Amino acid sequence: MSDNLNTQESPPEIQFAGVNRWLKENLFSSTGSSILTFLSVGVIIGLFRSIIGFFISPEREWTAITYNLRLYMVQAYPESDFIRVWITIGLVLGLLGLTWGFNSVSEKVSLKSTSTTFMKVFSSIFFLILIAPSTVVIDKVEGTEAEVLQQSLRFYLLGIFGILLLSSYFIRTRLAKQEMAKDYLNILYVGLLVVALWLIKVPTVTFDSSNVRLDPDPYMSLATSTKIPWTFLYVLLVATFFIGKYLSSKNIKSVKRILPASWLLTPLVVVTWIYRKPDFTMTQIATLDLPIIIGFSLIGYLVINFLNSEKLVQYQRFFVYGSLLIALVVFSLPVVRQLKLPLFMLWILISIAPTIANSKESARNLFIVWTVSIAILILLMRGGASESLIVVPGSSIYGGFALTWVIAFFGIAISFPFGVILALGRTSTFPIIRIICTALIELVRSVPFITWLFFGSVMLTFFLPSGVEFDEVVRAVVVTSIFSAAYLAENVRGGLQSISKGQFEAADAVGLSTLQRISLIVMPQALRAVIPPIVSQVISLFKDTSLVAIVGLFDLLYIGSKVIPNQSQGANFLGTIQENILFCAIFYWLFTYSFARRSMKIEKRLGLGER
Amino acid sequence: MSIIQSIDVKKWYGDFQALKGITMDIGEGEVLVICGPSGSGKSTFIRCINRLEQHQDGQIIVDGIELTNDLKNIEAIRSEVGMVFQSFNLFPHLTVLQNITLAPIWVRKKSKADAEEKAMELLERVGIPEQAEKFPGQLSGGQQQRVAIARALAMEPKIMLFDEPTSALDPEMIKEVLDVMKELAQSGMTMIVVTHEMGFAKEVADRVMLFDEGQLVEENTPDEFFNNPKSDRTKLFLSQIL
Ligand SMILES: Nc1ncnc2c1ncn2[C@@H]1O[C@H](COP(=O)(O)OP(=O)(O)OP(=O)(O)O)[C@@H](O)[C@H]1O
Ligand SMILES: [Mg+2]
Repeated sequence: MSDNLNTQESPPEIQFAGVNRWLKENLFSSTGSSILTFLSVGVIIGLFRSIIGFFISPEREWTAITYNLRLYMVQAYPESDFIRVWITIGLVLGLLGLTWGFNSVSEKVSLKSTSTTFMKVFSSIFFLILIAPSTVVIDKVEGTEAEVLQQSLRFYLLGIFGILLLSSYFIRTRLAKQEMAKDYLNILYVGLLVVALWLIKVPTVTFDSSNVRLDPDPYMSLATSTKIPWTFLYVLLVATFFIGKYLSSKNIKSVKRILPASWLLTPLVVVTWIYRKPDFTMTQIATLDLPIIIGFSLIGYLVINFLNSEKLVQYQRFFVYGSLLIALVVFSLPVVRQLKLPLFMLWILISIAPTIANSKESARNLFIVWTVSIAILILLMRGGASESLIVVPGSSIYGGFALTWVIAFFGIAISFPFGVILALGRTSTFPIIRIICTALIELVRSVPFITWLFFGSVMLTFFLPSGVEFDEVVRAVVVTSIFSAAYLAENVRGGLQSISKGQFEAADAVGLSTLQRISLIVMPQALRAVIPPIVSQVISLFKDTSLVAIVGLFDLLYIGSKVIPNQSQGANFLGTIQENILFCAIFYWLFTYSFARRSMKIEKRLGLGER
Repeated sequence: MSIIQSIDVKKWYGDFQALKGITMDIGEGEVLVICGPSGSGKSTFIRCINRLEQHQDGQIIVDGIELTNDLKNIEAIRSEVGMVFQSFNLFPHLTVLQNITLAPIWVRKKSKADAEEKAMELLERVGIPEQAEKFPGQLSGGQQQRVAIARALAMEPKIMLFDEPTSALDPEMIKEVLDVMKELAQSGMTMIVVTHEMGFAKEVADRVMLFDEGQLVEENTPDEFFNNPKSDRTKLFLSQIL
């Protein structure tokens, strides 16, 4: 009897209600709802037919997209340097694979749910093929029609998807109990995507030896027509996945630190490697940069190990102000650039070292982080200051999606810390800080983004000391980050307000310092509370990058709406604006939607603590 | 040897005087229960002891350090004084274990392993070692309050302050929290407890005090306090709550 207390009943299983019952309860519960159901199904089918018809009509020049994919992605980037792009993408994918494999969890998914997903996808495609129109009206006045889908092709496609549908149904019923590792399933998904790239054929613009366009355009698989080594990249991803898995099974601790650090470095590598081909000599590095790196590394070692000592720590605030003063003075002196920024970093190090380096291990870690970041900073400055050997016609090598993502990524990455600081400043108890932050936020928010873009591109030069010139793209990134930081600050402030006074008191009562209270207790909760508005902000920032066309940059949308529809040399794509705009819309959608999906998952996972 | 000295402490909220000169001495290992009607300044007073509130006049000396605006003193005192709140105030985004180890790691600079070992000991002591990996929101009120006690104890404080630790709890949970507090009192901890649990006061308190309108009206041994109070105010108060 006493066992009764310990026996746990399992929760009742939710019974599958059955399709009939579902239909009856949801769609045909009364005469009125049945009529509504029939009507709306009719309308939806009609809508689908016209949309599909629009896409596959012979009037559409989809070759405008396939021919110009490179323009869309990198605009005028020289073909001879493409290998740099591929190597960079390969590096990023390799890192992704490593991280994925290293963190892979042995989570399993049942074949039942997987095959249900497949069934849904296949049956939707099956249905779409079934209702696709065979002819479309080309001339409304004369009523001429063109055949877009031959019956034989339709049956062929229906057959393929019918078989796929049946086999997933078979798996669902027969192998429902089986399980599959989630990671392998994801590899399979990506693999299917690559296979689809080989199977799906699109018309491609080709020229014969005398430079005359072939007519009709030959069909080529997406994988070959885009000239991107998709398959190779896929293999790379899978290979690094397994390497990562192997490393994690060996339980090598250092990988845990190297991976996040590499991710932090990736954007810098991408920018220096793809966007620049810096012209410098090794002697410059050996004679000037290396000594500076070693010097700062040594100073950092002293700061980390001795500032912490009982005797010195009470004078810490003098060191902090002193080093800031030195940094400011040196900044205004005409010395080598390589000395200026590291001094500011040293100031930050002096401010944080006693708090962070509280044990032998963390002191060592901080020293490593310090040395590596100083080295990277100085080498980046060396690379950034030298001429780029990549030559392109026109003003800027940034264009197309390569420009869009740079502005979006760096805009978000810079605006995030900045916005958090502004939000903290606005809620600060120091009146001066509060007033400055409030004024900044309100000023930035009250002027349209486009105005700020113009300001950045036209007027910024007047406010900067003479001789300081920024690339147009850098200005766009700066303006975007400042603008988005102001909005972010307001979102974060909303989160800050949602935190109860009790949390602050509890943090104080256990003896946390102000900085610790903010970073360990307040911010994590505040940010969690405002994930949804921050996600929508990131999404709108991504889309708003299209506004930079106004200051003369060639972003994805500008290329689609203005450049390609005016193309008449090589292939003639005059007036193909519909196709290009549609392509841009789908492209933006793919990115924003997958981002939204991703963040929903993160939100769910973080929500665990809020229950 | 007194560990907390309060000399004529006064405190105003705007024009309203919440503390009208509180003078008391608390010895090491002493368990002091403060009771009194709502709004009498009990919370205000014990919150002054770890400087969650600032007193404007008088002196508070904790473990030989006087409470002033000096940040160093405040931080030193806060790590010596643990506090348990009526509304628990656990950190909802951290697990139970992280709640307890946070301050030892960041303030006491302990290593993670040491802090976790100590935390598990404390969870054992308050009777819920099996909840270590859960989040506060997944625990009952009584369990949360016991975690809050463990969190305060993890800093190895010399003094524990309790501000109505059981008044947000259902009756059956009150006992489990009071048991932990009794055990703590017997182990020799210096405790100041604001509570209306008179059973607890009778059983473990060394002294009982009555606050009214910002003043200390009666200070007595539990026996005398309940059976033979000095002031009429105490008699009235006791007749209302017993
Ligand atoms: N932040 C504040 N601002 C203004 N007045 C306050 C503030 N906090 C407390 N008071 C006032 O000070 C007086 C004492 O409050 P305190 O919280 O110390 O009472 P208490 O004895 O703890 O009462 P309870 O038993 O209801 O918790 C009350 O009259 C209250 O209204
Ligand atoms: Mg109170």
